Amino acid sequence: MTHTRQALVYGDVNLNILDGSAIWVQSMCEALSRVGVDTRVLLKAPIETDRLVAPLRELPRVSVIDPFRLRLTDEPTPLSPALAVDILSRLDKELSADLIVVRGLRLATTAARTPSLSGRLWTYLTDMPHNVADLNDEIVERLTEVAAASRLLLCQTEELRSFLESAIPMAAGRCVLWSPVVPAPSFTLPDRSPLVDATTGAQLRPLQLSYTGKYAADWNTLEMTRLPAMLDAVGISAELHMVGDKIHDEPNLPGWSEEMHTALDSTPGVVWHGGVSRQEAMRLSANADLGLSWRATNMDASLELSTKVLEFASLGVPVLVNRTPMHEALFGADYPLFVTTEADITGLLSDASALPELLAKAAQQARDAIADYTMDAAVERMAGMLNRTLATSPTSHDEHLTHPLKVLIVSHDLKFFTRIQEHLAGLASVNLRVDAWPALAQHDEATSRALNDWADVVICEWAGPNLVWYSKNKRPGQRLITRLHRFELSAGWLADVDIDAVDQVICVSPHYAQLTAEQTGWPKERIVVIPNWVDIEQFERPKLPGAAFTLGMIGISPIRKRPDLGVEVLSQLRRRDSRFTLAVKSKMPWDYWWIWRKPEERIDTERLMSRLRDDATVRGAVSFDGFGGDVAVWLRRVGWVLSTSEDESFHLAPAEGMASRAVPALLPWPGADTIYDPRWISATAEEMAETILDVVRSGSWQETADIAHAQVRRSFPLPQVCDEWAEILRTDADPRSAHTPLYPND
Amino acid sequence: MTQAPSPDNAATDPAAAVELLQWEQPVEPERVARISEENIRLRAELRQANSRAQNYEADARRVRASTKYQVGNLLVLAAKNPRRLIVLPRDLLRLYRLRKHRRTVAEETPSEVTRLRRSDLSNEHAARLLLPRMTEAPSAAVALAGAISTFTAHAWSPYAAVTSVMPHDAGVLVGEVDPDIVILDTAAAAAGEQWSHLGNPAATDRAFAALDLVTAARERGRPVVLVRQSPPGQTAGLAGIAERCDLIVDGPGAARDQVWHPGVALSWWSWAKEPSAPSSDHSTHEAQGLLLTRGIDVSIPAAAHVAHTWATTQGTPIVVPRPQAPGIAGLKAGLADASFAIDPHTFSPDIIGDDLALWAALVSGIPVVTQHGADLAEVLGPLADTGSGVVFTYHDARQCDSALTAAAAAGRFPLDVHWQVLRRIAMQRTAPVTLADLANRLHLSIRPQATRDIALVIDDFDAHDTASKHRIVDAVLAQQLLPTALLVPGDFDDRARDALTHAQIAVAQPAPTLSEIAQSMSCNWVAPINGVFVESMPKETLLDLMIMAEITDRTSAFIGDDATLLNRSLAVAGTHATEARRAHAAFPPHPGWTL
Repeated sequence: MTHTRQALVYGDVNLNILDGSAIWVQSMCEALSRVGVDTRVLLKAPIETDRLVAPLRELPRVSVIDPFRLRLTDEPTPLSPALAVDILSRLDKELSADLIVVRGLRLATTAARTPSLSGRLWTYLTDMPHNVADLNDEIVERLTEVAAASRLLLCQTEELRSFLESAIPMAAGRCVLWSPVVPAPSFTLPDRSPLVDATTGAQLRPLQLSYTGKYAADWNTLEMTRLPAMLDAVGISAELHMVGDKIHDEPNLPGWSEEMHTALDSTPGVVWHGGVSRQEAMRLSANADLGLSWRATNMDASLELSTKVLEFASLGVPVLVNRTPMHEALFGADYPLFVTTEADITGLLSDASALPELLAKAAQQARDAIADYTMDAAVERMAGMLNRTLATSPTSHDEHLTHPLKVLIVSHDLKFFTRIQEHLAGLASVNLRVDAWPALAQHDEATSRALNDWADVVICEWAGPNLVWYSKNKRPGQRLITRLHRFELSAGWLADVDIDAVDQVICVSPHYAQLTAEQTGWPKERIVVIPNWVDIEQFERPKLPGAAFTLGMIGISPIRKRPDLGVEVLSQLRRRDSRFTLAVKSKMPWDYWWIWRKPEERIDTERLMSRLRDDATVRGAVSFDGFGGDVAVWLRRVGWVLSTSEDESFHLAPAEGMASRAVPALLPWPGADTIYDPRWISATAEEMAETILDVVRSGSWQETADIAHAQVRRSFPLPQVCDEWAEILRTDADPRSAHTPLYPND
Repeated sequence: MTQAPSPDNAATDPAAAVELLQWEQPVEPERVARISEENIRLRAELRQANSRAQNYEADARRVRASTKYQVGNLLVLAAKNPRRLIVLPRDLLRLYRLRKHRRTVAEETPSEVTRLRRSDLSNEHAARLLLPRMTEAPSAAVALAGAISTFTAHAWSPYAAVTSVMPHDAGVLVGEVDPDIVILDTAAAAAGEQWSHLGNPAATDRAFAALDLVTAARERGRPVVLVRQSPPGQTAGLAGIAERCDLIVDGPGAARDQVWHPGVALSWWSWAKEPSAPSSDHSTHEAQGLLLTRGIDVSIPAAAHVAHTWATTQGTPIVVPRPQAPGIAGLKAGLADASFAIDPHTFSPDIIGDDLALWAALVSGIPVVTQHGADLAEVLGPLADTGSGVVFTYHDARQCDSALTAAAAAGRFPLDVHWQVLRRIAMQRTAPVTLADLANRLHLSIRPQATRDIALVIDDFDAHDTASKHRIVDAVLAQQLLPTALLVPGDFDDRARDALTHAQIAVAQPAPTLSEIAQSMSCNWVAPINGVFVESMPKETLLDLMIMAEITDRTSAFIGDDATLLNRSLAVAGTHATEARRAHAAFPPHPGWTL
């Protein structure tokens, strides 16, 4: 029986007012509906006009919950966040929603503090600071709380996602993009008559400019009304059509709203259409040669994208916008209609004969930019998010759908197991519990006994004393699995493991599987490989300018990670091209007391730091970017991820780099060639530097990064690894995995 | 409604679900929300208090472990108990030996340091390994530290002690260096620079580091200046940090608001070829290339394409700064091969257009083709006019073509024109001047221009020749670069003394030797010049000597045998002018003097 997914949606928006937030509710519900999710959308305010609610009711699988008509509230006023969350909780209690979509920081905070909703929130954050200076402790605490309670944090732009993950560590790994959706126009786009005589270059008709939206000082709407006159002064006839009826009060600019009203009413060349329906507004915009979304420069810091810009683009109307990193990423750095001042605009448009080509180029770039902002793209995105968050049990678990498999995870440290744990916990066929040991060899025996009595399957994450105890206490019919990483091989307790009781020993790489077999003498057929996982969707993000010249290292402690070799690679490169730099994301050796207490670690670290200070080839070229979960954001600046260790069991860093479309560069630590394609492995630091230089100089860095990305997609993507773990709960894995390289072999 | 609806229907029937809801008593959600808000506020306050307590505890531990505390403790104990006076010397000696032993062991046998206990470790101490070595710049009149681009640092470093901090050491280094001014230069946020991507949300860690920098500066009472050298869209992300700066100024590439130019270095003079002969014959210049100061930028294709087309048509090689050597190194190499330069950037008039590369071309003596003549004219005056052979402006593609042709024909400046350009740049666009402007805007009492303080020493002169003294005073007061002090044997009359005082020139009797003179003065430079020469020396003399020294980045400069400029360190060391002259063979050619 297929479970139909259930969603609750509350946008904390008044659906009597047509604005961006109302459109957000519509597009969210439509996307959920189209992927087959039963959606209940709770209204915030009593219905005064049906124009936005009626389309919701028409969507299949979408039900509108009107709390005022249903007397879920006594007051006829819009719901407060607290009341809304209360109603959502009660709805959820009856529906057992798979996801609860909420919008707005205030509402999300309230929802986050509701234990019954925590963990299933899909939170779309607005009303939050967009710069670090505005992040006070209270805001950070609030955002952290929301992040912790959210399964997903929906971010309108890549910029917002980057900022949030870096500013709020709890947000890392939970943020996904939920781009604005631009509805397709319901009318045929008009053909515009030629603007300019092709032979003489003379203007044949006025240049039609269009603005839709509110009127506010920072939106430059007053300045826009001066454009027809300014363009006329440079010989260009122009007409500005302004659509909208909301003129803001500007407390800091006395008289501004009156001046704005006068300008709309009586400026020659300005046609004020007032407030019209959305479709009519789009129709008016479609007639324009040029849209205006040029704003005051203090708006450049916003991490949100104007949907007006996207609407113009969808109508084939090129739009004047400020040059910001966000707009450059959207339209391309060579988009010809970036402007800052009125002088820019008049300068750009002053040559009538050049206008048709200029506008055509801009319109094409704008059209190309909005492919990600259609409803179809949103539906695809939604399907991906649902697959990501709502695991589906494999067919081998069918018999457990009614009687879930009781799975126990035993460990002192689950940091490498979190996503797998999350996946298993989400399976309808699995009932998951955890025996959390406070330390490697420390546990409450009574608790362990009780859990052991309960469990059908026991997973010992780290083959430590936990494995020793559970192997000696295995119950008949129980299945015992362990994952061995690396350090356990040199520990003495493996000899105490009753290996006959262990069904599967999982290693993360073929090299370590073989090493385990050699050193322990355990039955080879039980030693299998399930690789580490890489959350490819999380890491795939656009690179920042100059990434091809930025080397990256993740984790440089202890010294066997050989950061000195990474610095040597950098030195070799910078002797030929000083654009190369090295970024390091790591704690420092002195942050780990068990590392820093060793004299050899201190000596080697001091030696490394001395080189960074004294060697002119690397001085000032190495940045230590700290430690944190925002690795995906950090990798946006990195084009090469280095792995220079003496020894690794897997080393996830190159794989994460590949997922981010950086190129991996490894030295030949034992087993590296069983995990990563040998093409990425260099014999020495000098050879690595040569390879990097060759690739960059030949202009093939992007192509090489794409190859790396394609490889990691096939090697150890998160969904595939999670599936393997789900399968191994019931069935032994193929022992040949211990001898099969993890990279695709074609 | 008398009976609760069935929960079984609620899962599939929204109406039933809602019906069921109506049976449940709502908790007072508003009250819960208020309590939760208070909770969050109290948790934040508690965390801050805990953090402060931890810091105080760490400080207390450090103090207790310090020698000062221990010595003081011993003294107090001795004061309280006279019998401890007897053993006080022994205890102090013991303390001294222990301290000496610890230092010696650390220096001599680092490999024998035993494994430390967890409580012995100090992350703060270890983290100092990240700090760069400080370079001494004892003659620098001003210390600057911060996020500074390589170009800007290069322009300032001949004149100031400049420390470019990196994001990971920003706050700590400000404390170590204790600069006069902390700088946040947005040009340091360009790709490849030390603060690359600062202002981009994808580098929020850099924004936090910038905030740390500003906070550290303010804690030490040091002013912070945000120098915007990027378009508004690139710096918008720094808005919140900008509000915490004491001053915001706009340099090349930024919107024209609080205009301030960071300055250029005269040492950007190119020495890749032999200096041209001191004549107006400039047909012998060897370099023929057209330098594109910024290469091709896809966002501003028009002028760059015109330049390329023109160069191809004319058969003129195009010189582009080597991308492998970005910044000043690549530009310098490019300047050596070029005889004229174009800045192909198209900015609106609201953007400040005269970038450092353009000024570097002018310092090197090659004409520039640009849209931003107005910015150059502010400094160059009539030298920026068409016909001067220095600046060629254009406003459209057709004019660009003509400007390129004219600039190519003009080639490198004649020597006298080159020196006129250098003088104007030296007096208006070099760091001593621009940093002094910055200090004024910040109401600081530092004097960046002190790096050019000259003590003019008149030698070989008849102290009783009053008329000669008057001529000397007139010549000194006419100098474009006034000395800070004038050392002449004998007295001046009141009129002369008043005139010198009004010009803020100190007057003193010279000591017997140059070394003693230099030691008695705080000026960075000493200029022993013979009296006869001074009486009739041109008004550019001292300035030209200074320019020579800065171009060559040397500690001395000479004009013939008559005028010498010696850095204070040379003068204190007693280096004779003749010896110094012999050691420095190559000087930039000068239109007025034979070297």
